[in-house]
Amino acid sequence: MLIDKSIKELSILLKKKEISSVDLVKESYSKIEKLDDKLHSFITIREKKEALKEAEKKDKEMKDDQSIIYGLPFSIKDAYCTENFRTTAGNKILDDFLPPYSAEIYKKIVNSGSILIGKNNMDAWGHGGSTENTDYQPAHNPWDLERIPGGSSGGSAIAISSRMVPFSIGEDTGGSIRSPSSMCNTSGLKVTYGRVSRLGAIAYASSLDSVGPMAKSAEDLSYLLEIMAGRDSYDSTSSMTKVDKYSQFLGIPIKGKIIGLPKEFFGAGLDPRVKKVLLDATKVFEKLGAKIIDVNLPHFTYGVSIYYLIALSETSSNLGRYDSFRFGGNRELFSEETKKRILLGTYALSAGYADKLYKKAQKLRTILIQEYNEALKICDVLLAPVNPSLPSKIGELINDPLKNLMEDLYTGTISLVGAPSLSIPSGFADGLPVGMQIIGKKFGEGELFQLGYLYQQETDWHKRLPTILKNKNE
Amino acid sequence: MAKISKDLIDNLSKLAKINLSKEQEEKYANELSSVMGYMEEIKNINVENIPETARVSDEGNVLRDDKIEPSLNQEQSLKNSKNTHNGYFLVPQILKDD
Repeated sequence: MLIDKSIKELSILLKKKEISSVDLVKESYSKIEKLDDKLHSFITIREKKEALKEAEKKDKEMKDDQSIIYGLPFSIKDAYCTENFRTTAGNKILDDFLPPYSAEIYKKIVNSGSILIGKNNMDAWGHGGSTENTDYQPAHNPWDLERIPGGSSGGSAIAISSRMVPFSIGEDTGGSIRSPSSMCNTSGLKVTYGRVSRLGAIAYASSLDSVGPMAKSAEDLSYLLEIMAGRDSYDSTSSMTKVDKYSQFLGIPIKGKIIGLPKEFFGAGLDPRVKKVLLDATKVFEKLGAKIIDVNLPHFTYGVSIYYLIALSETSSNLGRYDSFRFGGNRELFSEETKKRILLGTYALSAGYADKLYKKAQKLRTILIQEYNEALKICDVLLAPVNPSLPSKIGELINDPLKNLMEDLYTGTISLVGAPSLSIPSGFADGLPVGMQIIGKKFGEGELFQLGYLYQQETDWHKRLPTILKNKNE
Repeated sequence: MAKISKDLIDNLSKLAKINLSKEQEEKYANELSSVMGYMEEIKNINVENIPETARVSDEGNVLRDDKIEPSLNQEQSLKNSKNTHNGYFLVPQILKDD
């Protein structure tokens, strides 16, 4: 199984001609053919012949100085426009949408020589944390087929976890990269807001949406972000801040680093099994020379309300563009979840309520930012759970709207602040993966890779293969 | 406790151009009331003199030069529309004949 190897290992083998891009693409398709009927990781799979033809070309043109991802197969969340290739955002309104242009991030990855295999399943428009709210088939967790894979970038995490692709591009508004990474035992990065161009990303909530890499390890992610990050003159929110050479942070000791544990993220509502895994992870960091301290983020307990008032207001406005005249089908096709989210956002923005709801939430967002800034004055990074509970059974969250929202407490709040957060495997509870978030300073992604990489040298959680691969002896 | 009535749902669905069945109106009124009831927790927090945050970037808008560059042509722009006429998007009539 080649795709179990790291991006760097694969790149070295490709350049030495010990393996070929064709081998990798064949392996991708063979995994998908065997497993995707059960997992539903993909909404649209690219024609195999086309991908193989591209791989043959890459093999012929392989040179030592090419990008580290040259010749590697990849997948991308179906939230990104791909020119003349079906793009649905998980929603039937866009069932036959063939974008006239490609997302900037897709172009960057393809121009670096990677080969598209397909578009990953997702909660429609990013509305959900389970990949059940897709208008296609609900996705299943490779560790337990009866459970959700997390979401909304669930399809991407499944594809990595079951080794269908070495990496994928996800999208994170309030946890959509971090949650499925945690639930599927993969690594994912929510970048600092503005670090990666959003051009061609189908919008959920524009002040929160971020484009990030998903792969097996912090090491893989560091190489991907080097390719993905940077200013785009077509995205006015993309940052001018210099892009670091992220892979140079790998291996730097973390002795003396101060890691803050926000008390509000370890209190009531956190499953004690998840809490135990997280506290065990802090011991690994202590062994590596870091110091663990408690910090307070008092208003973060209101995070779910603040997050949803803002995100749903923005989504009700963003989804106003689906009028069925220029592209897409009519608004009857919005799913139940999306209709509810649009109505709530419309309510929070409507005359008489906007001051009490939307504007108040924006003021509280300012308070969250202040508290986060204060905390980061006394520590280098924060460490927190990703989800309050283990992956639930499929159907459980859909039937409990409030519990569904609470799943985003630890991730949505970090999105409101605009901070980067690395989600990496940190252990297991009852046989199910549990991830943790390492949250950094704005544009401090390098420091997150530094911590994540050393943690993954000390532990092997991220190397463990899901049940669906073990049972089948794939 | 926030109560989202069926009438309010009806009004919101008109504003958002989403048609709902009677059953949906009832169901959504209940579910949204419970979610809004929870969100009322922010009601009593004092935010006096706190400015609103609309975006988290400190850089402001960074604009590019206003140069004309190649863009989508008419065919590309119209190809995803189900209703076009003579190179235009066809939309429902909004002004009355008189």
